[in-house]
Amino acid sequence: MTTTAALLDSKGSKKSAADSSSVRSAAFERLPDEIIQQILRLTSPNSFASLIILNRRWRTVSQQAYLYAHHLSQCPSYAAAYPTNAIQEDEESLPRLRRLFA
Amino acid sequence: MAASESTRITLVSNDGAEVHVERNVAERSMLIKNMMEDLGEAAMTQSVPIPNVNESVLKKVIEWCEHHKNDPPAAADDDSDSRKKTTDIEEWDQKFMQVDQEMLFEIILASNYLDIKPLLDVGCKTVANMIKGKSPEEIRKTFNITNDFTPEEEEQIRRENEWAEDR
Repeated sequence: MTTTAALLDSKGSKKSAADSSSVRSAAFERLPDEIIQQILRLTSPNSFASLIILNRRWRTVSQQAYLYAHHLSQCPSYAAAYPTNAIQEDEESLPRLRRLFA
Repeated sequence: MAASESTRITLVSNDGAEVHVERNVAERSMLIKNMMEDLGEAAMTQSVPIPNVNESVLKKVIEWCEHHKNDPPAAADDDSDSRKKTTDIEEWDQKFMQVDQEMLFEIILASNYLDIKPLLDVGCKTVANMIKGKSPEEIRKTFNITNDFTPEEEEQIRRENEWAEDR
C-alpha cells in the first residue's frame, strides 16, 4: 500500500480513494485532455512510463514532446548527461525524445 | 469590496438544489467571480446556475473553497516551483480528498469547469499519488480501465518502450 500512504490520515485509517476501485469510474472517462496532460506532467517518470501505455486515449494524449522532455529532465541519468537547455520541445523532436526516454 | 465579504449568493446545481454561500467563498471559482462581475448588482438577487455540477459535488467543492477562502492568491503557479516535490499535498487537502473515486474525479471535473486551479491541482496530485509506483496493469485495475490496444498495437508500443518492463 505504499502508493496510498500519502492519503492515510493521521490516525492511520486506511480508507483511501484507491481502495474503492470496484465501481467503474464514469467521471474518469470524462476527463478532458488537458487534465490528463496535467496528471501526466505531475506524475513521476516511472509512472509516466506506465501511463503512456495505459490505453489508446492516454497513449494519444501523452504523445507530446514537452511531456517527454519534462520527464527526461527528471531522470538523473539523463539530466547528468545532457544540460537541460539541450532538450528541444518541438514536434519534430518527439520521436527522438521517445527514443531517449526509452 | 469589504462589504461583499459577508454577502451571500445562491448557486443552483444541475439537479436543482440551491446552495447558499458567501460571495467571497464562491469567488474562489474564477468562473463564478467573472459571472459576478458581469452580472453586477443583479448577482445579489438572482441565483447563479451551475449547470455542470450536481449538488453533492458542488457542496464538496464549496467546502474546499470555505476552508481556503483566505488563501493568498497563488504565486505564479508554473514551472518555477517544480523543484519542490510535485505531489506534496497539505494535510487538510489530503483528508478532503479521501472520497470514493467517482467523487474524486467529479471534484476534478468540477474544479476544471469552475476554474478553481488550486483545487484542480490538488485533485491531479491525488491521482498522481494513487498511480505512483504502479504498473500499467495495476493502474488499469485501480481505475477500472479497459486495455483497448489491439495485440499488434501493444506489441509495437512494447518494442518502442522496452525499458518499461525492466525498470
